[in-house]
Amino acid sequence: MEDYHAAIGEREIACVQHIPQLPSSPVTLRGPGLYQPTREKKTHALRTYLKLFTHLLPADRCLGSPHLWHGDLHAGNIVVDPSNPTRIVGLIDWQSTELSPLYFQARQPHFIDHEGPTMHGLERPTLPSGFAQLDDGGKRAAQALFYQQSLCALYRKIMHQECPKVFGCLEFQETSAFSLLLLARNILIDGEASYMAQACELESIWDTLPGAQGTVYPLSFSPADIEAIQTDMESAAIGIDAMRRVRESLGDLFPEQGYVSAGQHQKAVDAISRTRAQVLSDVFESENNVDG
Amino acid sequence: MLRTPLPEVYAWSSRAQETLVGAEFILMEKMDGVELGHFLPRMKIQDRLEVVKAIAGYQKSWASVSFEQFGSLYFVEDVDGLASSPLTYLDHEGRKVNDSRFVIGPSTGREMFDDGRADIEFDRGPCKF
Repeated sequence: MEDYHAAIGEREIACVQHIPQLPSSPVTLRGPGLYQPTREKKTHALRTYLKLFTHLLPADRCLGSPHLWHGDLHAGNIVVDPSNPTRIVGLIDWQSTELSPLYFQARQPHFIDHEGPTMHGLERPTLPSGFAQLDDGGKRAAQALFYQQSLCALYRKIMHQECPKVFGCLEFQETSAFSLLLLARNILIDGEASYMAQACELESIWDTLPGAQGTVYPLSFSPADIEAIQTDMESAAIGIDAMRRVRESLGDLFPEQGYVSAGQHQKAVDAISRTRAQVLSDVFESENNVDG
Repeated sequence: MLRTPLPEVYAWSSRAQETLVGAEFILMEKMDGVELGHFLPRMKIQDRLEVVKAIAGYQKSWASVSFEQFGSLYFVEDVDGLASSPLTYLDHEGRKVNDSRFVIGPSTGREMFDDGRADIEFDRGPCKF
């Protein structure tokens, strides 16, 4: 278990240091005045992970045992009988399957993911208290969200009753300890600013970590370190917010993986140039408001 | 072993240089059905629940078979000494099973290859639990 998590840190450090050019993040916009990722910052976050990870593991080590899993159960990978679409004929797209810790894999099937508040624990969804006063559009939206949340709540309930190991993973996934295990896996791409901020915050809950009992928080930060971490975190957040706005504004024209289809090309180019001006003015306006 | 319906793999090659077209390939059974996505937008909530239950059943099965190493599954003859011990796992009833057709070798997970990682040298496993 420890060897596996150490190897993740070493892998990311090797990649951060030897890759010819750092890949750009799909969720963070970069630019003058925004957060600038560097190999040094990424390496520092990963060395922090290597100091922390043994203390981040769950009390029940079995939640991290190696399993085979299908990690991408969206509606395109589930093949059903057309005369009875509730009957599953097969699951496809297994080529990236690997044996990795259950807590990195256990998850509700992607096809029930939805926008809006997600379900936690065993809570049950409710319609908003003012439902009767909503107009027709509002009622439809509230009802749709209620159904989507119901599917997720049902999934969690089944797992709680029939597969406590998976439910235990879902619970562990909501902890800050898990977040610090997860983020480390992709520091080559992004997350180092958030990583350091979360590692800093961990000190206040150190005694509650099952893997840290009887140990001392292994990091120390000077006031200047903390200020630098805050600054990086805030400027990264502005970059993330800017990219979110770009995505929202472009919708289907957003070049996922860096490209759009030939037929969409001109439309995308036009939309991007409109979006660029809009996002820049929005972002810098809100940033000035924060400063002011 | 995992009680999940899958397409049967008829032929494959992971060695691009040994194929006539110079690329890796998988040739597999066409599943006799249609993507769930085709029906989902018009499916009743009760029907969606049925699909969620079925998937939860598969996941329960995956979660009840555990292995002793992290990595990826290979046929013994495909790994050229990258993995040593034959496959051992705990089945649904918690019984220890040996299957000498397979070994656990280096991980083929996306994060071992994507974003330029494929060209960098690092430990890809296997790794003990």
